[in-house]
Amino acid sequence: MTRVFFVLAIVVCGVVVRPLPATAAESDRLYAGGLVGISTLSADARTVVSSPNVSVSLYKPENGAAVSGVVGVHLYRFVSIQANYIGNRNRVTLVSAVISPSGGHFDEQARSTAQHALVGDVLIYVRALESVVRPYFSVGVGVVRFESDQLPLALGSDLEPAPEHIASTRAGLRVAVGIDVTFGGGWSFRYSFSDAMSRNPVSSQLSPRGQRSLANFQSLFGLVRRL
Amino acid sequence: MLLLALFVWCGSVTEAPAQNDQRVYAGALVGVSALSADGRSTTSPSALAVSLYTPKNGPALNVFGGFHLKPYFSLQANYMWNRNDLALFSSFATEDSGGFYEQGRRSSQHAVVIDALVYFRRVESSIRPYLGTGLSVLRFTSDIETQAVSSGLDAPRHPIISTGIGLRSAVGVDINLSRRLSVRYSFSETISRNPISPSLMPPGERRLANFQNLVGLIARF
Repeated sequence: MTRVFFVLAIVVCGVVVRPLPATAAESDRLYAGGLVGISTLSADARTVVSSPNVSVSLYKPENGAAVSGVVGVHLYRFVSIQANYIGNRNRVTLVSAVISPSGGHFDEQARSTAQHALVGDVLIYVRALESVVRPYFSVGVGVVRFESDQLPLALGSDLEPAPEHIASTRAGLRVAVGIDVTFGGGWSFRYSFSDAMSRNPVSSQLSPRGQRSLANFQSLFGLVRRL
Repeated sequence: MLLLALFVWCGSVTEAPAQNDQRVYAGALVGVSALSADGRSTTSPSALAVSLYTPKNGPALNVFGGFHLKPYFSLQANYMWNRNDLALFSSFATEDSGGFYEQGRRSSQHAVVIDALVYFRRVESSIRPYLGTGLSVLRFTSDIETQAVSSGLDAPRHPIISTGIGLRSAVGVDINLSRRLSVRYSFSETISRNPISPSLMPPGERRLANFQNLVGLIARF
């Protein structure tokens, strides 16, 4: 099995680290673009049972708008590096409750959230730089700023609510697949689907606390131009 | 539009010499299945009901056979199986009463899927990423695994059985090891009606997504 992985690693490296042809190496290596789309946050929930009592919490996110600006360099025919700004907004509903046979206490909050991220990506294309259709996959790390504010809509009975303002800055890991389709004049259409994983600043405000990381799935499309 | 353009592009390419033999292939993949969760809360100033189910990752198997129709296009028939443990939870609370149940279950899915695969490199290439999409007929069953913990609310006692249609989307890559043998990695999502959520109280509302990470071997004939 180790030998198979070794052979695969050599094959992949041999394909992606071929040098650029002379004509392409001298120009068109820089590119920039803008993408828009939809952001979907992962949900989280937890139950703690100590019969006949139970504590339950969950948050439910709604899909929201996402934007991305990218600047990159085609280092090789199959490899590029790229800097991204990514922003998205989502509404979430937090519910925490303590339930016993004699009744219950709960808190429900509607909240707005916003995330701003700066990410450095490495892109590996599966077709050469001069191809019209160029699928890729990428991986990158970055810094993510998360903020959430309570909206006026809130219900509850005798359970301590989450704070009005939540803010968090942490590191994130982003993986993506996508495709560039060139249509002339240095312009390309890009579609990208990405998953950004980071520590979850929402789950830690639930009672009982959630335990899952926050995943931010983004479907983005837009235009990229060689400079 | 993009998919249409890809199909036109795939269909317009002439056949490669290598395609005249070894057009039929078959293989088997194993991996991990992750089911989507669901949860719902309904609240009023004096009452609350919360339900959710949490699935565990489980084993998955995919056996398939296919046919390279064009250098960039293949058709494939799949049998897929996965098994996942579930925990169902429902609860309610009013000003003067409350109740809940938590129940452990085991679930399994069997599916027959027909996929169309669009490759991004020619059939003779060593590394061949692809997109796939297809329709499936799937059979879902779930039985009680552990007795429910409950107070003031009854857990469902019946097995959950459902047969339905699903839509499967996949990305993957074939990497040639030899002239007749390849490694395949595949990530797929199958979306179908959710047979678990109606058993919750209040009933959940989301569809069931079945994510599968699979790896295995393909032989060409």
